[in-house]
Amino acid sequence: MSPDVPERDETVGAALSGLPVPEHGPTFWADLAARLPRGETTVSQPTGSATDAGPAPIDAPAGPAAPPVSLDGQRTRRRARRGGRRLRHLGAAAAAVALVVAATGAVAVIRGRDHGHQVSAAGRPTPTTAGRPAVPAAPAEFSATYDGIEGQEGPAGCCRTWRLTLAGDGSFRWTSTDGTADMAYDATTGRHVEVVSGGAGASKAHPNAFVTTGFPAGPPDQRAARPDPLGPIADFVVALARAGDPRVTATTADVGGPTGGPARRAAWHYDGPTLQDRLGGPGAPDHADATVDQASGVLLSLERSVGGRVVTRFRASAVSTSDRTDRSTYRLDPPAGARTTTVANGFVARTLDGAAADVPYPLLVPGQVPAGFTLRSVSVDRDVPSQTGAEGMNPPARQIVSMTWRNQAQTFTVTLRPKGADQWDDPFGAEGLTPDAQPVDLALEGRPALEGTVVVDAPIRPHLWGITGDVVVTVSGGLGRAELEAVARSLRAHPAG
Amino acid sequence: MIAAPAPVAGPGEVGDDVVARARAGDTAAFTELVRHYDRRLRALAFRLLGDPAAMDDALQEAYVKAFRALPGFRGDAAPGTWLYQITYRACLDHLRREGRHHAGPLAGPSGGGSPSGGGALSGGRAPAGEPAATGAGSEPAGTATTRVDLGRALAALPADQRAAVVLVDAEGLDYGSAAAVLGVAPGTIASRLSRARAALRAALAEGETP
Repeated sequence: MSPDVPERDETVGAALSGLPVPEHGPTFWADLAARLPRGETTVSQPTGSATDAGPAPIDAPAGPAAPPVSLDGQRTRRRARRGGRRLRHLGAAAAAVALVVAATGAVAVIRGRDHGHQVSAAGRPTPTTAGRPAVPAAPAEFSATYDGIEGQEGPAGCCRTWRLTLAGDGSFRWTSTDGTADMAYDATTGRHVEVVSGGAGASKAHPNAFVTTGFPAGPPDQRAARPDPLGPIADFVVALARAGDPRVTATTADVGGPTGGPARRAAWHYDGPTLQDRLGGPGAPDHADATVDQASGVLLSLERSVGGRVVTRFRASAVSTSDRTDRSTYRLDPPAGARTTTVANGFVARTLDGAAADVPYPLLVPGQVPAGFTLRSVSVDRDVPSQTGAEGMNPPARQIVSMTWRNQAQTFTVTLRPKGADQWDDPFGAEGLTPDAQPVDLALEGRPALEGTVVVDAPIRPHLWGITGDVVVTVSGGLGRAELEAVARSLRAHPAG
Repeated sequence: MIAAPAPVAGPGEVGDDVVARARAGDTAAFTELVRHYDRRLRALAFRLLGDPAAMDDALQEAYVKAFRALPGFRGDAAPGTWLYQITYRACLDHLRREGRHHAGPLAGPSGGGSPSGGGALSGGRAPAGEPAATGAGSEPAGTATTRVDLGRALAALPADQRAAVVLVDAEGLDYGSAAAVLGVAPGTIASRLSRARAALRAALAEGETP
């Protein structure tokens, strides 16, 4: 509520301010007075304009004041309610697992929901030859032009055109071709820069740039925007493809080449239901038709619809690849004169040994990863609190370790953070989305069992999260459920820890 | 991580003495506090919920929570920002409970509704002393139409974009404060604003077309 509002769009703001705001109903203030804890003071109606006039002052009866509850207390209670539900759920699941183990012995074979895989209880993924496609070689650089990103149709036109360039290490550049928006992430430095408006024709309303340092290689602690074609539904499609799920089919996408001619790309295609964002109401999309480039893991097209009505649609064209990476593409500086906001995401590149020395809990590292994946990034956030989950309701956490493995364009990320004394909910939780979260209870070597849930449900990034002793763990990426569980189950304390 | 916005006691903020008395449990001071911000909080709640009754329900919850939470209010954020946070969360809770996002058809004589059903965001119960949302007699011919178009466009936005544009463009929060209210990074606010503004500007252009 600062009187200095340089970031305001005056035109839109003036129009919005012109929309009327209804008054409260006639009993609002009286109802509120009746609901406030009754204490030693009286609730009086403040003086105000005629339109603000409320009911007469109310003398609150004397009585014991309700004990004040802090905002943190409210949050704790709320999390406790959530946690209680979760723990009851997990308790039932644990009991069920115990029965299965008792019945089948310690070397039981658990068959996940994913097709084409079976995973031994010892945590070694045993892929079958059928179902898992070979991981295609990723180009050093992938570029494409996108139309339809905004998805808002109107008489003033629809959408800006955007150009995406993606490097093999996850660095990206995302630029609107009208020069009003630009975004770059350099994985080698962990620096993320977003320029909201810049270049010719820039709006004076928001000449802003945002520089985020210490940006980790994977979620859920990436507190900056990412391009739509790198959205989490791409990970979902890749996960189903890896699992040989019949809902995803291999196809050839006919996209435009760099010179406008046809270009055919090996792709994976998903055409099916997605979670409907309840905050979006009945008009929110509940279906997606997504095509993902096999070599880059990038969405080539995404059409989201509800009841057969298309809500948003974007599509790639002018696709090109390169066998070399131009690092300068991923370095972006705010334009001269831009108002720049710097945000410290807090993650610093470390070695495993260094990470183990940085955190007060055992550094847990997967003993088994899917074939072809190698550890590419380890970073630690020691000081900057990270809040995760729906509404950011999880406790602010420090001393977070983020580790990312990569196999060509396919990646997954493991994060660790101290549990503390508070309740936790899914760090990937999002407002309005209620995914099919399946309880897991995984025995770890030399550790308390990892209890949590696994989610492979569009449009959310596939993930597993849980708590083992004093550590909150997430495993997320383009992996099927069995692979997520296998990675989590193989977590071991790093020797230097 | 987003730094907590610096406390601001500018013209738009209530005095420290009122906050102090309210924190001590003075319900009259608390009422003065929330009344000070009430119109702005009503605007946020109504734009998110699209229904005057729902707005009242959410603000009842928000104000009761605020009163209970006041003793723990550390003053890291301005009181207004803090109340926006509580109100925003109360609105999200309301939306979750209701399993909906959009409101009913347009109120007012020229209603007509909207495909998204969100037209009430431009109207609803008119404040005493203010013209009705639509069909107001003394307004220029295009104004009411523009309001309807803008209201529809606003209603069609996802809740997160709608909240961002209301907080920044209508209510004048800076990006940092809006980010703190919504629990996201300032860059995310910028992205949401970019899209929301594109849609709203299109609606404004449509409304101005003869």
